[in-house]
Amino acid sequence: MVAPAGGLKAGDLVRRPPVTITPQATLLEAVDRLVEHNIGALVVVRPEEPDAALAVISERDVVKALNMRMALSSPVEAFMSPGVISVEASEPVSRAAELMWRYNIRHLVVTKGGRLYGVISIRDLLRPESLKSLCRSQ
Amino acid sequence: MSSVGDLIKRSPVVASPADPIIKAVRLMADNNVGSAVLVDGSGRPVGIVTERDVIRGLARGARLEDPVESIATMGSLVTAGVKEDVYSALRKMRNRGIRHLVVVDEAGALRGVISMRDLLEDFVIKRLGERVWWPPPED
Repeated sequence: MVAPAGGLKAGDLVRRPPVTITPQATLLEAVDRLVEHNIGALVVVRPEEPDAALAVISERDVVKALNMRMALSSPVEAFMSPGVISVEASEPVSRAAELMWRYNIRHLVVTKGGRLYGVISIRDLLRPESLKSLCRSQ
Repeated sequence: MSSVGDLIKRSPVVASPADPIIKAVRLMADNNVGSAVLVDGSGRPVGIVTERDVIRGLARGARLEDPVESIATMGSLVTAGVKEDVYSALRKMRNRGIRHLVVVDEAGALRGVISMRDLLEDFVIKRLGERVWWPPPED
């Protein structure tokens, strides 16, 4: 898909700094952080490299960990889905929609120059301004 | 192809309000879905539990053996009709800050669930985009 002139970019949908967690934090800490920020996913980063995304922990990952009867004291690294699906901030929102659809995910890491910049969700893509850009790109 | 009924991909994942939370967790994980509809003895939808409800419940100290209705949204379900336009469904989700809608037929019987993800499909985005550019008068 080609970006429409003046269409929204993935980076335009990022509304706040990413909420992160370390691989050594516990499942319970991840739960508390999700609730505290009222969000559906956390970005896993090492403390010494806070702008390099290692993985994303979503509500689904937590539910799957619970289903496996993992203890709430288990470290994040034991149940995080390794690898990150990301989009550069300068790419069109249609690219973000395509990735979420193809990989069946609800959150996408947004990078700027390859470094962690934020997270966008399906909800962000379905806001009126994003829909206008998505519709024009079809 | 722009009504809510067209987006239903599977029979609904259901549980009983008295089932333990872990059963809802297992249903969601095994079926790779984000919610389960709670139904009464005659199969009528009476509530919904989502991944977010489970996580909020845990943060409050709920145990996986507790009844699922203790963390679910019970009563006053936000529903969509099978023939409802997808844009109307999206507006309901946005206005209520929810990600899932219980879909019912004309008789109020459970037909399925749609989530925000279902709205990402190309033909849906096209329809939603049209409605955003030319919103109906009630907008």
